[in-house]
Formats: sequence, structure tokens, C-alpha cells
Amino acid sequence: MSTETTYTDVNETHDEHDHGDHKPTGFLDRWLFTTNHKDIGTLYLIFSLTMFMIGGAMAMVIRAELFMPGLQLVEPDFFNQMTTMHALVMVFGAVMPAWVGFANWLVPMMIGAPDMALPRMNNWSFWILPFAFSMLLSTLFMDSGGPAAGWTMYPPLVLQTGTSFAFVVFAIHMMGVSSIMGSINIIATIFNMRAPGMTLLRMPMFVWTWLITAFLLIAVMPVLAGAVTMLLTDHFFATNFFNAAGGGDPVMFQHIFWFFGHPEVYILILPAFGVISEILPTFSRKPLFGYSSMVYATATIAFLSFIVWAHHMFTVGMPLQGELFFMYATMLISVPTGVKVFNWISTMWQGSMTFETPMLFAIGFVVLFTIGGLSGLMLAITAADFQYHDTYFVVAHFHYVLVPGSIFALMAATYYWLPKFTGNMYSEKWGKIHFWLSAISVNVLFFPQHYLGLAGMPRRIPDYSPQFADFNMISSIGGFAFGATQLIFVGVVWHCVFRSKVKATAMVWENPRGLEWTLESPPAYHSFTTPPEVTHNMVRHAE
Amino acid sequence: MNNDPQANELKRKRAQAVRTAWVLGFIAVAIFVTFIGSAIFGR
Repeated sequence: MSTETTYTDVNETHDEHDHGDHKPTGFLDRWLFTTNHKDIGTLYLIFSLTMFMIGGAMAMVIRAELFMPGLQLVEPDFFNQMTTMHALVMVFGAVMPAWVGFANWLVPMMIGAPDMALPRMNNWSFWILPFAFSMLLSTLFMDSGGPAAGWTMYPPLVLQTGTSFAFVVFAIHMMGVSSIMGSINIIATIFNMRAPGMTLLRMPMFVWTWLITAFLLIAVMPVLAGAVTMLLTDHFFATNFFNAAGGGDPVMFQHIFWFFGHPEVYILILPAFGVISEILPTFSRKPLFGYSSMVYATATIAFLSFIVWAHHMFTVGMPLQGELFFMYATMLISVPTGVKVFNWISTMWQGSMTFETPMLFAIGFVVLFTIGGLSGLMLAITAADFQYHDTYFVVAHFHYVLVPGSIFALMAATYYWLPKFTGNMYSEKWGKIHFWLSAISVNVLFFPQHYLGLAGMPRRIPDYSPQFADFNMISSIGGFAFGATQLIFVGVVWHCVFRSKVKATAMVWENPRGLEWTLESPPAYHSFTTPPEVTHNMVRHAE
Repeated sequence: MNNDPQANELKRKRAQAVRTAWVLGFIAVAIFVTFIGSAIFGR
């Protein structure tokens, strides 16, 4: 298979004379005080994997308790703490930091920049997170226990949380500050640090999706901060923002929360769209189909995410016109999303496809995320939502979007770029075993939950009626299998980083496009100290 | 005085990036204040 000679030229211009490998030698200098985008990206990814394991352990507690009817393992209040913390940890601790980690590694390399625009703020953005999550998790060991009202923190229920609630709110504030600073850094980097010739419509899709995600974050994280601040004052300072007895409005919280919460869903999935748009062309050996329509579809999805929030609260008693507006606006999202799915399929169509592990996860994403999208359409129908609302159907829907959606895309990204990051190849055999076990178990875990929801099983309960027993047992078996399978992932990553004897080439794959593949594997500590000149044929969609 | 054009260009880009960051930071704070403010004074 031919390779582009342009890449060799670019490599020579910046790497031959200056290897730029001046790493700090001390442990603290290297990791605590680092301002290097690759080191900070690594820190984010390690943190995310740790949180993924902690959040996963909580999921195991939930599925173990739900294995059969009755209360077996944990007290109901602790069960509620597990469901709440599982969500907070997975959303804010695992998926978001993982995407920021990949953005740190990849955005500068993809646009030909030497580093992020604001390296010291980058360090701060990361090091806030371990403290935020230590504080959040510490509430589980406090007398009043952790938050137990669900990650949506609806009042008045959440206001029954004890004194630990202040720790939860402060932790969320810190996560928000971290996310906003990270987003500002990404936007400032993309707008100001691009190499000559890297015009906006030549940027890789991962960079585009992150640019749009960063704007979403800046727009909605302050809204969440405002909402939890009002909860804090309601709880501790006798205000009545959401307390009906004092003239407040609990439904107002739901409006504010979901004005943040729905764009948040897209914050978790848009970078995944970018990753899939990078991987499918490489293993299909074709350019991405419809690059510019992909960019516009992403921007459209981001815009629409701001005007659909009330579909999460159809049952609160809105005027009919409001329900119709939010129903149709929500359904409209399927248009740009459909553009993306059909573009991915068209990219693969008649391609010379091979099925390495990243490609398997990417195809798994397209198929399974689409199932999550279709159940989302069902939930968007106002009349039907009155039956589905607060049932396991909703749990099945958003887990299909987030697990074989975001998490599979993260796995795909890891297998795709880890050889570039480390200079070592992972075990393809174990990668494929990881994929197939994950793909089977994730469906055993979540598909039966659709039936549970349609049959009326409510979410967030530790005990249930006996008629739900069979599907719950199947779901739990799938959950244990999926959890155990992720230990394989940890093993594959560990082996790749520390033990693998197979060295990766600069290109790693057959003819991948993008500036990051012009660098050595692993890239020098300081890459693109001399900016490359980006030409027309160096971007995949230009063909 | 640094006469390396690449270093100067990088310095210029970073200065511009800092300005971008201030604008974005201001927008984030403004959204936060607007939400809290509208909740307090809009009632």
C-alpha cells in the first residue's frame, strides 16, 4: 500500500535536527508540575481509567443487588448512593476526562502546534480533578452518607442529603471549573495555534468535534454551577429557590438542570463522533465521506441540544404547545445524526476494509449507538414517554448511547492511537477478544432492560416485583461479564505500555491521514517546534 | 531581544490565545451570574 511522500518531508523538517526530547527528570517535575500536553493527556487518561474502574465497581454493586428480587446485599439508601455516585463518577470522572485526555494528546499534534496555548492552565485544569473526586467520593464515608437522589439532584429529595451535600456541591463546582478551563484552552489552541495551511475546513473531524464540544461546555457548565449553588443556599442558607413551601419552584430546577444536562449528553458523544470519523476511513482505505456535511451536522446537533431539554420532563405538566415543540425539536436531531451515520456507512461502502481492533470498536459503535438513537426517538414521542418515563427503558436507552457509544469510541481511540503514544503495538489477539466479549456482554447487559422498562419496572429501585426477575438476572450476568471483560482492557493497555516488544512505526496503520502520523512513534516530548506547512493532500477529505 | 522569527511568531500566537481565553472566561462567568441573577431578581 502506498504511503504519502509528503509525510516524510514534514517529518524531516521538524524532527531531524531537533529531537525535542528534553523531559523533566524528577517525578514531581515530570508529573505534578508538567505543562507538556502529552504528559497532561496521559494524566487525564490514567485518572479516567481509575474512575472508570471505581464507577464500574459501583455498577457491579447495583447489578448484584438487582440479580434477584428482594434486598440481599446493601441497604436501600446505600443502593441509591451507588446509582447516584456511579453516574456522577462515570459522566464527570471517566468519560469527560478521557476525552480531554485525548484532546490534550491529539489536538496540538493534529493542528501542528507545539503544545496547548495555555500550558500552565492546562496543568491546573487537570490537578483540580483528583481533589474534586476525592471530595466527592469521601462523602460515602461520612455519617450522612453520599448523595442519593440521582445524578439529576432533583429537589426537594436531594435537599434531604445531610451535611455531606456541601462537599458534593463544592466537588461539582471544581469539576466545572476544570472543564471550563480545559475548554477555554482547547478553543484558544484551535483558534490561535494552527500550523500554516491548516485552515478550519482542513482540520481533522476530531478537532472539529472537540471545538464544538468546548463551546458547549463553556455555555452549560456555568448553568450547572448556578443550579447547584442555588441548591446549596436552599439547603444551608434558608433560601427558597426550589422549595415550594417557601414560594420556590422545584420544577424550575428541572428546567435549569436539563438546560445543562442535555448538551452534556452531546459533550459526552460529540468527541466520539470525531474519533469514529478518524478511524473508519483508515481501515476502509477511503477518505471520509461528506467531510463538510459532518462538520455542519455536528454544529447543528450542538445547536439543537440547547432547545430540547424539556423532553426529559414531559411528565411534569407542561402546556401542550410546549410538549409539541420539544417533541418535534428532539426528533429534528435525528436528521444531522442520520447524516453522520449514513456518511460513516458511505465511507465504508466498497472500501478495502480490514478489521483491526479499533475498526471493530468503531463498527460496534455505529451499530449499537444507532440502537440507542432509535430508542431516543421513541422517548421523544410525548404521548409514549408518559409510559416510558422513569422506567428501565430510559436506563437502557442512555446506556446504549454512553457505553457502546462513548465508551466503545474511547476504546477504539485507545487502540488506534496508543501505539502512536507509546511506540509499542498492543496485542491484536487480546484486543479482539476484548472487543467480542464486550460487544456480546454489553448487549446481554442492556438489551433486556428495554423489556423491563416496557413492562413497567421503575429505575433507581433496589427491589422489584417478581415478574421482572428473569430479565434482571440476565442483565446482571451481562453486567458481571462486561465488568470482568474490562480487566482484559487494562491488561492489554498495561502490556502495550510496559511489556510489548513489537515496536510501532510512525504511521502505525496503513496510510492513515493526519499530522500526528507524520511524527515518530512515540512522538518527541516537544513536537512541531517548527510548524509544518500543511498542504492540500495531507488532509483525508481533500481527495 | 529575540530575533528568531519562529519564536516571535509563537509568542504572538500565545498572546492572542491569552486574549481569546479572557473573552471565553468572561462569557462563562457572565452565564453563571446571569443564571443566578435571573433566579434572584426574576422572582
